[in-house]
Amino acid sequence: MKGIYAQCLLKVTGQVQDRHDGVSLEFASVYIPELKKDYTTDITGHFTIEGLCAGKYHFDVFHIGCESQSFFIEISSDTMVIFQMEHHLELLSEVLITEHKHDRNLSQASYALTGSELQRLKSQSLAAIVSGIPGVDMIQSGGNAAKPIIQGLTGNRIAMVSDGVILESQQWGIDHAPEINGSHAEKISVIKSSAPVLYGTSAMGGVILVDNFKQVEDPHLHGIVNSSYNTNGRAFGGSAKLMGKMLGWTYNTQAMFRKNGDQHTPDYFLNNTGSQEVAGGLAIGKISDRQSLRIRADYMFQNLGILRGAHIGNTTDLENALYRSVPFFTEEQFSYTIEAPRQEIGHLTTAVNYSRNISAHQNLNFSYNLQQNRRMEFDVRRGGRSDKPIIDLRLLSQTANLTWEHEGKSINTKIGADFRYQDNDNLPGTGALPLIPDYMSWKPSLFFLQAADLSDHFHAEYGLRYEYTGYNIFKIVNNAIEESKKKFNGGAINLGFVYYNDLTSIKVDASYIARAPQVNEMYNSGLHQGIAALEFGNPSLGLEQSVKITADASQQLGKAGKINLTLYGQKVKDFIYLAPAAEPALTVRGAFLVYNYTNNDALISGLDMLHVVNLLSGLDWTNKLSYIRAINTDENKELVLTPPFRASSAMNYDLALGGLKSNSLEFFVQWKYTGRQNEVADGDDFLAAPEAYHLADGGIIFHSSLLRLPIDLELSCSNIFNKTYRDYMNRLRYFADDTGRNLHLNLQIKF
Amino acid sequence: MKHVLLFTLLGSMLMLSCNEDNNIENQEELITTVRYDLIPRGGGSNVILIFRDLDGDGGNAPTTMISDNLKAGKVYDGTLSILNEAEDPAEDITIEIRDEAEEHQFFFQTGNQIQVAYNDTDNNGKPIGLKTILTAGNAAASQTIKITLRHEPDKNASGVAGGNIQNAGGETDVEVLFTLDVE
Repeated sequence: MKGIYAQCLLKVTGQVQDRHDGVSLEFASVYIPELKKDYTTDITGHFTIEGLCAGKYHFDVFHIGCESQSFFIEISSDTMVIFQMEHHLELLSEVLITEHKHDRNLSQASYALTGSELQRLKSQSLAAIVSGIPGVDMIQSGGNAAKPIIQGLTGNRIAMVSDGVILESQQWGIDHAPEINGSHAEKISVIKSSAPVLYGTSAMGGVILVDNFKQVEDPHLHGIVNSSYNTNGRAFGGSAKLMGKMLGWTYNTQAMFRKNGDQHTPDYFLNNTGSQEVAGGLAIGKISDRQSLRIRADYMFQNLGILRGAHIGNTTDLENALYRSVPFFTEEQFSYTIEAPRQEIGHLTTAVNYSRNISAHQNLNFSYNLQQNRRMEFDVRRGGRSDKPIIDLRLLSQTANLTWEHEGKSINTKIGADFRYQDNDNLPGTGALPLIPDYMSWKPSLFFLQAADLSDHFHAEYGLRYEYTGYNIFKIVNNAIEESKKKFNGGAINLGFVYYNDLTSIKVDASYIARAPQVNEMYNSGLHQGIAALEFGNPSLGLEQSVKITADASQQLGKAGKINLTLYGQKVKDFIYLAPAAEPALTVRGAFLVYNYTNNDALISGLDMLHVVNLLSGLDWTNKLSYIRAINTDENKELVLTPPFRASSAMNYDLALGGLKSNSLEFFVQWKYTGRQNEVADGDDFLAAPEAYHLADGGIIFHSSLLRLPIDLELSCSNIFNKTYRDYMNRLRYFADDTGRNLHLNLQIKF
Repeated sequence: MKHVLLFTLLGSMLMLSCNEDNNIENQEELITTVRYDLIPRGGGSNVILIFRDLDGDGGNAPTTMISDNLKAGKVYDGTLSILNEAEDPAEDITIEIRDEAEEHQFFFQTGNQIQVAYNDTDNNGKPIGLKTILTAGNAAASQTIKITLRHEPDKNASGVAGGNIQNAGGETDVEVLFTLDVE
C-alpha cells in the first residue's frame, strides 16, 4: 500500500511555448484524458500537475491560434516538460534557432508549410500547395496537370522527395504532374537554393520535401479522418490516416480518394477536365536506442482529363483554337466523364531504411527504394483507338544509399554513396512510335558534407558530390533499333554560411552544379501532344553547368513583425531548353511547329519577400511577393514560361470562443495579384501574355471538439468575385479562361 | 537487418530479371498518302493528285505529284483515297474513315476558278467528302486546292455542312495543298 501512495505523488511541471520563437503561451489548456482533468498555463506559460501516479499519459495541448497537439509521455519520476506548439500561420521559414542544430539544410533558404496553413491547401495538387510560397510557382496544363517551379526551374531540375525517397518519374514532360500526394502531409517544405550534395544534380533548382508517413511512439491508435467538397468541378474526396504502435512496431497507414468533374470558368464548362485519384500506403517502423528500421509501400493512381478543346492537330488547328473566345467542344452539361485526351498514371514506391549507431557519435544509415512509374496517355484517335494509349511508359527505378554520419562537438560529417539504376520501357500495343526511347541508366554517386558551428553566431556548411551517369539508349530509326551509349561525369560543390542572433539570420549559399543531360533532351523524337509540336532531341548535348548564389535574410522588426528576403542569381552555361525552329515541318497533317533541344547560356535572377506582422492579438497580416527574370544571354531575350510578378496580402484572425478553450474561429481573407509577363517577346509564344489580374479568397474555420476529439470545419471561397482571367503559366490559357468561383467545405476529425 | 537483406535481394533479382525486349511498334494510324482522282464527265484525260510522305513526320520532305492540269469548264467526279503505303500491301485508311463517317469530314479550300461540292453523306445526312464534284471555271494559272480532313468536327456548326471549315473544330488528320492550272 505504501508503494502505491509513494508512486502517486509525482509532479509534472511544464511550459507551453511557441515552436518558432520560444515565446511562452499563456492560457493554453493541457488536458489529460487518463485523468479527465484540465490544466491551464499561467502568464509565463507554465503549468503544474501534482499527485500523479507513475504511468503513461497523453497530454492534449490546446492554444488559441495553434494546432492542437497530443503528446504521449511516460512519467516515472518528477518531470519537467516543454510543449512546443505550431502556430496556425507559419510565421517565417523555419527559424533556425529553434530547429535541430544538426539539420543539414541550415544554410539554405527554405520555407515549411505546416499546421493550418497546410491544412487549408491539402485538397489541392502538390504544385498548387507549394505555389503559395514566395519564389515557388507552377506550370499548369489545366488544374489536373500542374508542375511546381522553384525560382524559375522545374521538371528534371528540381528534386521532389517524399519521406526520404526522391521521386523518379517522367518529369520531363511539361504536362506531367509529380506523382506525390500531399493530402496526408504533416509538413511540406521547399528548399529554394540548390541542394545538390544530398539530393543529386537534379536538385539544381531546389527541393520539395514532403513528410507523409511520420512514425509516432504512442501505443494508442491515433488518426485523422477528412472529407471535403468543392462546388467547382463538384469534387468530393475523403481520406483517413491511422497511426499507432503494435507488437513493437510503429505504424502509419493512410488512404485517400478524390473525384472531380468538369470545372467551370465564370462563363462556361471546361469539358473533360475531371479527374480521379486514389492513393494509399503503409509505413512501419521499429525504433530502439541503437537502431531503427522503417519500411514503407505506397501507391498512387490518377486518371486525369485534359480539356477537350485543347487537343489540337497541326498549326492551323492551333490558330483556330487561339482565336476562339469559348473553346471547341464546350457543352452545356456538367459531367464526371473523362474521355480522351487523358492521362492514366500509377506510381508505386517501396522503401526501406535502416539506421544504426555504431558508437556514441557515429551513425550508419542504409536505404533502398524501388519505384515503378506507369504512364499512359490517351489521345483522340481514329478507328476506336482512343481507348488505346498512344504513350505507354514503364519506368523502373531502384536506388540504394549508404551514409556514415559523425556528430562531433562542433562539426558534423556525412559521407555517403548512392547508386541509382533505371530502366525505361515503351510497352507494346500503342500503335505509335515512341516519343522518348527505351533506355537503361545507372548513376553511382559519392558525397561528402560537413556542417560546422564556428561560434555561437556563425555556422558553415560545405560539401561536394561526384555523379557518374551512364545511359544505354535504344532508339527506333527507320524501323530498326539503334543503340547508343552515353556517359557523363557530373557533380556539385556547395558552400553555405549562416550568421544568426536573436533577431536576425543571414544565410548565404553558393553552389556549382554540372548536370548530365537527360534522355529526353538527347533523344526525344516525334510529335509531343503536350506541346502540340514536333520535338527533337540533340544527342551531342554536353553537361549543363550552373552557379547559383542565394542570399536569405530574416529580421525581427519588433512591432513591425518579421521580414524574410531572398535574393538569388543563377548563371547557367549551356542551359538546355526547347527552342522553336524557324521553319515548320510539312507533314500529311499540314504544318507543324518544330522544337529542337538546344543549349544557350542563361541568367536567372530574382527576389522573394515574405513579411508577417501581428497587428492585434490574434490578427496576423502576411505579405508576399516574388519577381524573377530568366534571360537567354546568348540571344538576349527572356526565356518563355518565366513566372510573372506575383504579390499577395492576407489577413488571418483567430477569435476565441467561450466555453471550452479549444473552441475558436479563424477568419482569413487573401488578395492575390499577378502581373503581366511583359518580358517575354510576344513573337516567342503562340499568344501574347495575358493581362494582369487580381483574385480574392477568404474563409472561416471553426476549431472545436466533439467528444473531446478536435474537429476543424472549414468553409472557404476562392476567386470570390468570379473573375474571368487567364494565367500566363497555365498552358490552357491558349484555349480557355481559368476557373471561376469555388466554394470549399472541409471537415476534419482527429483522434 | 534480416529485412534489409531480404529487400536488397528482392531488388537485385528484379534488376536482373528486366531483360530488354525492345519492340518496334506498328504505326497504326499513319497516313502516308492522299490521292485525289478526278474523272472528267463526258470524256477527257483523268487528273490525279498525289501527296506522299512515306517516312512519316520529320525525315524526308513529302512529295506532291500532279498528273495533268484541269480543263476550263469541265466537271469532274472526284474520289479521295487515304493510304498507308508504309505497309506492304498498302493499307486503305479510306475504309476506316467511311466506317466512322459521322466523325469525319473533308474540306476543300480552292482558288476562285475551282469549285468542289460534296457528293456523299453520312447516316445523319451530313457530307463526308470522299466523293465530290469538282467544277473548273475559266482558264487561270496557279489555282490551289487545299484538302483538309477533320476528325470529330462539329458538323452542325454554322456553314460546316456547306463546306466552310471556319467553325468546324476537331483535329486535323490530313492537310495537303496542291497547286495547278486551269487551262
